[in-house]
Amino acid sequence: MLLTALLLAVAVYSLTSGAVSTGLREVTARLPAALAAIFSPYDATANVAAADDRLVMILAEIRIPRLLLGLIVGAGLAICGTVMQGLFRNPMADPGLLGVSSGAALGAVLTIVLGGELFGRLMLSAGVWLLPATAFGGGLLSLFIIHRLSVVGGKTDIATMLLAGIAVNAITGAFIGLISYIADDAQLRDLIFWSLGSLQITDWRKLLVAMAVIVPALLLLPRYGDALNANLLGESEAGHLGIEMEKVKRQLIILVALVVGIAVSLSGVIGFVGLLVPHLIRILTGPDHRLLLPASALFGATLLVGADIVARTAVAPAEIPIGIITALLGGPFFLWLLVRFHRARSLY
Amino acid sequence: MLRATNLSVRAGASVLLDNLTVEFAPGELVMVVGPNGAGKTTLLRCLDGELSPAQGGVELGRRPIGDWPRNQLARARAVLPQQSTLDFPFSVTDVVLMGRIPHAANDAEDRAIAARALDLCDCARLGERAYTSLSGGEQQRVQTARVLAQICAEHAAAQPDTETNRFLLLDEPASALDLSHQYALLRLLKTLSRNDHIGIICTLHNLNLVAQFADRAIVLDRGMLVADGAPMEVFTEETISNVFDLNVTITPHPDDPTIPLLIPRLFQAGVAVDAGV
Repeated sequence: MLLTALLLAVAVYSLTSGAVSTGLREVTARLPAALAAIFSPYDATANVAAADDRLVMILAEIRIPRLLLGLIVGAGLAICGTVMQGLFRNPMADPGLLGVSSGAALGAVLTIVLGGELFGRLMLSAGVWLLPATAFGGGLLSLFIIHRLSVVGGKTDIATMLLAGIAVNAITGAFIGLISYIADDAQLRDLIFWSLGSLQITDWRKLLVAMAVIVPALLLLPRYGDALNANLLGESEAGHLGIEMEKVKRQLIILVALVVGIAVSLSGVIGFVGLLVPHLIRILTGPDHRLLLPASALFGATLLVGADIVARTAVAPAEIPIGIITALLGGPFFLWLLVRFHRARSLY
Repeated sequence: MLRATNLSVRAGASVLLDNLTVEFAPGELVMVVGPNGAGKTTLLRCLDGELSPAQGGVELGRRPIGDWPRNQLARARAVLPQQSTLDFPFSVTDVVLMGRIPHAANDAEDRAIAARALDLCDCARLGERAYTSLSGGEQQRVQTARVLAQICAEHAAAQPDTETNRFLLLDEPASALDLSHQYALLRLLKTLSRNDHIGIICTLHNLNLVAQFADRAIVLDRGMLVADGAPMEVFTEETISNVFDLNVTITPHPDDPTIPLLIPRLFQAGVAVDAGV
């Protein structure tokens, strides 16, 4: 309840703030017009009305898509972090740790820099889908490699999986470095901005692709609450409780690769959300995944939209990459959590 | 009926279980004893369906255990492993409620069953504590309560098939318990097997507890079945000496002559071993 209210407040505030500052009343007055412009892009009257009013334009073209992207990416990253921590019974797990993010990033970087040569005409025709698809491919490939390495005789060895994640991170990091080295100046600037993360989005089609994938995943993932709870008892115990853990793990891994791949392809690598949010929520709700999963999604969305407000307004009209904000806020906060709760021996 | 036929399990070159055939009936309290590495845990893991044997098979109610739908199996048998890895601070009640995951009962009923299970394991006052803050013995009792909540009857008539074939498998459930809780646990298991008609298979190291409470004792040594029968028949000075490499005298219990009492000897072939010399 509290989290939902918080989310709504941040969402509304996000619409009113930006390089051009506006009052709440102005925004509410123009919201219908902006929505009309969004939902009927070919409706001449709506568009003419929109073009006449700069704020309607700003809302329809910039702030609303950006808010939606922030919501789904924040919720997606946070719920994926929660899932991974439950799956690995390890509070340090998150999509970054597994190499999903970096695998997705490698896929995306390859497309950005070498896309023209690799895909040629395809790049033009399948533009909207290409980047998410390669990022998902990269993320899934990393996960697949890690999964193959660490699954022996139908059981997943957690230690091997974590170590394999570190190795995959190192390898993809090296490749991304190599590609950055051969990129030209313009691409390099793209790469840097993108690798620090940004919720800037101007293409509604890209956003719809992302929502088509992430929203169903967000609805599916909370159904795994019981399975993840049982998994905390141990993998055999989960089996004894009637849960087909191997199947559940496979499904969760694919869902996580999808969400993270799409999120990375659109907004770059935004760290700490997947790690930080589950910890914060656990303090509020306790470790029960049936509550933890939806609450993490809500709070992740709130946190990312909030961080984006800071990113857009702190040095307006310029922008700070949002990955820097989340790391700047998240890093010290996480250290504080570690000190405080490690001392009390109840870190998670 | 839970039946293992010609069970063999190997790990690399070593034989963990060697052509074992045993049978368990609902309502029976069976204890598996043997030295470390005798194959007790391996036997339990085969019986619960987690481990697929290299040879032979396990049947629960005439159906191979692998053919049981997982959720249905989880309502027919519960398993308490030797150790549990839970290190997230669930409340004790929440841990016990996890035992209700396979059941599609309503929340109030689940809570009533969980509370009863906690009470049976002398954990009623721990209900709201964080699991991670408990001592080892308390954690073991809470885990026991969890498997009790999983197997204990809801509506007795609702599942005739599983009702006649309910089993509880416990791997050293008393290893961290103090003496009085060890006795309380075994009295509880005895009652459950009698009143609820649950088949209980339990590994245990304290042979006097086995002698006092078990309907049947199964002695394993190096993966082989050495003896299977009532404690009075199975526990002979010769068997114990052969299997455990320990000299004991076996006398009737002073309070009940049908219970054998094992007393480790202080002298072995005339030489003091534990005589404090």
